[in-house]
Amino acid sequence: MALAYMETLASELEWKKGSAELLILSLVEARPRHGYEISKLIEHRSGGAVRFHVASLYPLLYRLEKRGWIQGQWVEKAGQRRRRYYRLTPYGRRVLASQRRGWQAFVAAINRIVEVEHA
Amino acid sequence: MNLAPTREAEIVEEVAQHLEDRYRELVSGGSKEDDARRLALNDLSDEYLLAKRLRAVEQEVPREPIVPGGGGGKNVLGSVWPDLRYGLRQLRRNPGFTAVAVLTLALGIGANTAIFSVIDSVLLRPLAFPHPDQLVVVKNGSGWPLSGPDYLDWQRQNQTFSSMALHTFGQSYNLTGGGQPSYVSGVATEANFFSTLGATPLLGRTWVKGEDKEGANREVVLSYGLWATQFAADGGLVGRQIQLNEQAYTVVGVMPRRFDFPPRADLWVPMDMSEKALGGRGEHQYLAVGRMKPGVTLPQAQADLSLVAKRLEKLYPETNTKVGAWVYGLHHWLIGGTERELWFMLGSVALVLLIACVNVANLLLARSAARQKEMAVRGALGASRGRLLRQSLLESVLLALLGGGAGLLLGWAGIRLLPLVKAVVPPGTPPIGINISVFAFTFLLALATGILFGLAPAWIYSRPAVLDELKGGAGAAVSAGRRRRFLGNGLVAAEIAISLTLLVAAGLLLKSFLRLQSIDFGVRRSGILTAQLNLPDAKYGSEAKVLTFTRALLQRVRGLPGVVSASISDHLPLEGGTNGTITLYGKPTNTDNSSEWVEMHGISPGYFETMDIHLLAGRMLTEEDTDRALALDAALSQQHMATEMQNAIYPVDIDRAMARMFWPGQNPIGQRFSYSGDTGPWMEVVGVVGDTRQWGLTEPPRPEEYQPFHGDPWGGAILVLHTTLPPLSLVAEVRQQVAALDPDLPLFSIRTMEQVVARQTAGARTESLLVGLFAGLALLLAAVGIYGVMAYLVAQRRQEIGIRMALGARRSDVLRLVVGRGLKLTLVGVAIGNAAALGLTRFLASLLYEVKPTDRATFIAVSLILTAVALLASYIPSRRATKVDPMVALRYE
Repeated sequence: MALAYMETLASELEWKKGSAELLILSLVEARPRHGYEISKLIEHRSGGAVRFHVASLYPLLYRLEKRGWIQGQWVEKAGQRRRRYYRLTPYGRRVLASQRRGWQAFVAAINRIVEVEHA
Repeated sequence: MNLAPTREAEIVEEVAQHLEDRYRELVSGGSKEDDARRLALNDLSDEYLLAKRLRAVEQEVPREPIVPGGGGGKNVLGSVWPDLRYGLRQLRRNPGFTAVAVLTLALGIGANTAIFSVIDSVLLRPLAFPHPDQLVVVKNGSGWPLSGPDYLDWQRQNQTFSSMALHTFGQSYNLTGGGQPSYVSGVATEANFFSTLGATPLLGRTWVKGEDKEGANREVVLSYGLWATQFAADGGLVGRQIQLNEQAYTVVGVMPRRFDFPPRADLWVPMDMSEKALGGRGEHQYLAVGRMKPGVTLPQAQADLSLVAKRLEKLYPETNTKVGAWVYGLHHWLIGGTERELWFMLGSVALVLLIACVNVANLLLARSAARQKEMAVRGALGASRGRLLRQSLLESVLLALLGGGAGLLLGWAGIRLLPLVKAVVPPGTPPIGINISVFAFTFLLALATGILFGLAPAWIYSRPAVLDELKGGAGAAVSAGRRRRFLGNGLVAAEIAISLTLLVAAGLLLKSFLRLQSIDFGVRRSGILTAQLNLPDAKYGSEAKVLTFTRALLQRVRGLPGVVSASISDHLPLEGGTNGTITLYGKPTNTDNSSEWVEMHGISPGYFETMDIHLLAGRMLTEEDTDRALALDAALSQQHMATEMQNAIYPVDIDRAMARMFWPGQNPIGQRFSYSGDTGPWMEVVGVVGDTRQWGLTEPPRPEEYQPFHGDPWGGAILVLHTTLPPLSLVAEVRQQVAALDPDLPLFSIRTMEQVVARQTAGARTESLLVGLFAGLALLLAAVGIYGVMAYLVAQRRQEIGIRMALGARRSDVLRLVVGRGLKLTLVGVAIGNAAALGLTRFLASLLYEVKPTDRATFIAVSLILTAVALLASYIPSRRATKVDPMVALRYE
């Protein structure tokens, strides 16, 4: 029982990690965004279906930054605390393109399966 | 989390920002604050997960090297630096908060720095002599000056002194021969005077052995000040002659700038130590400085000299009964009564600083609500409570150090105001300024201050209260808020109590000062000019010569436009004088009044009119009386026959105090008394005048006798004149009149009577002014503190107020709610403050004149003022509360 739960959790994490990376890269593609904005956008655009906890979001952001896919930068604005904005690096842009292709292929494949089942 | 500290600080900042955003959004979306906080923190539901994941991501980051022996293997320095940078950033991010806190602290620390710089230079810095703790002042047991023969016996018979040197009080010298004549103060000293002190000259030499023999005293050592101002610091002056009191003296040396003993001496001449010159055993007219042998303590030296004094008492009972000995540390003697006043000042400014601390602690508390989220994140990231506490303290210490820096500047500026403090700074004090020890004091003070005001808030927001909140639900949050509020209220009450104490002290001192100011000392205050003359023996050796000069001068001065009257006196009211015991005519050896002293005052006719002293009975002294006195003096100096003495009758006026003391219920006119037992000569009372205060504003009038002025033995004469013009505008003309009679006579110590009085009240004035200043500062800070807490309260209770108003509460109800809260805090503070002040003001007793330390009027007035200010400070935010639009406030819900 405990083992089965652990396996589910592990696979879910695995699955989410790949897609989560894609989500973040996509969101910072158009313009630099800060962490909270990213999490809001994910929640908002998914209609509340997908939510990142702080404990997931920031480690992920730091990992992407470490890989050189995104680059964080502190930005100060008058009357506000400074915030860390993340932008896509040229390298990240290539990664995003390939991940996006992979994701679309994956979704298309799934869709084909799902559609065939229902046909 | 064991990440590089800088990295950790960045992560904390970013995550805290995230939580803050979420919280705001929840609140603006309609959540209650407590709920919003809980929901926001819910994101951190498993703090270990975040820490674990972050560690996984960041593991490639090299760890800080571990310092061997560092506390528990933690790299203390490595993590303090980023904490420090983080703290600085926090301060920069809240410029308003930082500015208010730094300014508040700067005021408190600055005031302390300024006062400490005075204390440092007056009390703490040792005298500029080698082994200054061996140096003592030696006097008679009652504090009297020494007689020459007694001194010689002490010097010979003591066991505990390595050296002892006699010197005179300051004597008047007219320095002439170059430009305008000037008055200087000189001291005659024994030959070993400089060597006893261990002082060496800047130029030339000091005395050589035997230089204090009779007839060998025409050398002079100059002070640095005199050398610099009168001789343009001429390096070739040594060996040349200067004119002092119309006689030539050879300059043998110049002392360095810091040598100032006895205080304010301009020059030193050798003393004639021959027995003839030293005078009799009963003539107490000298001072002495001694150097104790190494290892000898003050009590040992005291016991030693007391023994010698006892021996002398047995040998010379008629002159030495109960004379005793008195040994006092030189430094303490020079400081005099200043020490207690200075510590009192430091105590006052310390209270101001305490209030500043309380204010800043309150500011930090108010901010702690916001900071709690950040602290929670740090806690979630694995920071221990100790680490959080350290971070909080570090920030408050940082704040305090900034305040200390600004305070140092303020203190430096405050020292510019020191002419104000001059009244309490004894002469010979090294220059007051910011030096290394003042700097160290300020630094340590700031450090301690930071810890003091940072401790309470740090304790509260380093509590993992927010994490408790997640686990324990809303109850914990409420209790955290309550704790904060309770502490905040306590701090406000405390600062009201402290400022009340200071205000009471200031009020008492002010009242005392006003009492002093308004004392009627029996003499006209305004329109009086006084100026001193020194008539040297070489030119004015006889009474007749003195009288010729003073009469001519008075005639000239009385003719000046604006002068109503003028007179000569041998001393001024309030500034002491000479006195003696008397024998009443017909009461051979009076026993009952033998201990009563009578003040002797030499005046020329016109003195009572000039000084506005009223004649109560009989007549005033006339020029004829002066002539008669002069003639009697001349006769007596030639024949000391008993009959001549008995028949010599001098006319005198007396004051009412004397009439009442010696001839109560009798007519004093025509009564006679003598200073020389029942042999005469006799003084006969020809008139009675009003009382004046002779020995200070607070000293009641003493019996006083006025005799015709015919020269004082030291050549002093004071010109007093009553004018309808501003007194000081006459100085140039008066000087011209003096110069017309004798171009070598300097006019000095030129003052109005108001200045004479001001010198008396200078200490009281300084004290009340400074303590008043500190109390004002305290009041201001307390008002700001109350305002801050009330404003915070209003902001917190916006919704409640809105609901109340929506339910029909009137503005006055809301006002009453908020102001009532402020009033409650104020009254608690006032009650505590009154109790504390009652306990503390008795230390003031010695500084007060005719005001009791528990003066009810002052306590009540101060309590009322403080309450009024506190009410005003809470009224402003409460007005804002009444302007809350119920709908707007409710929409927040």
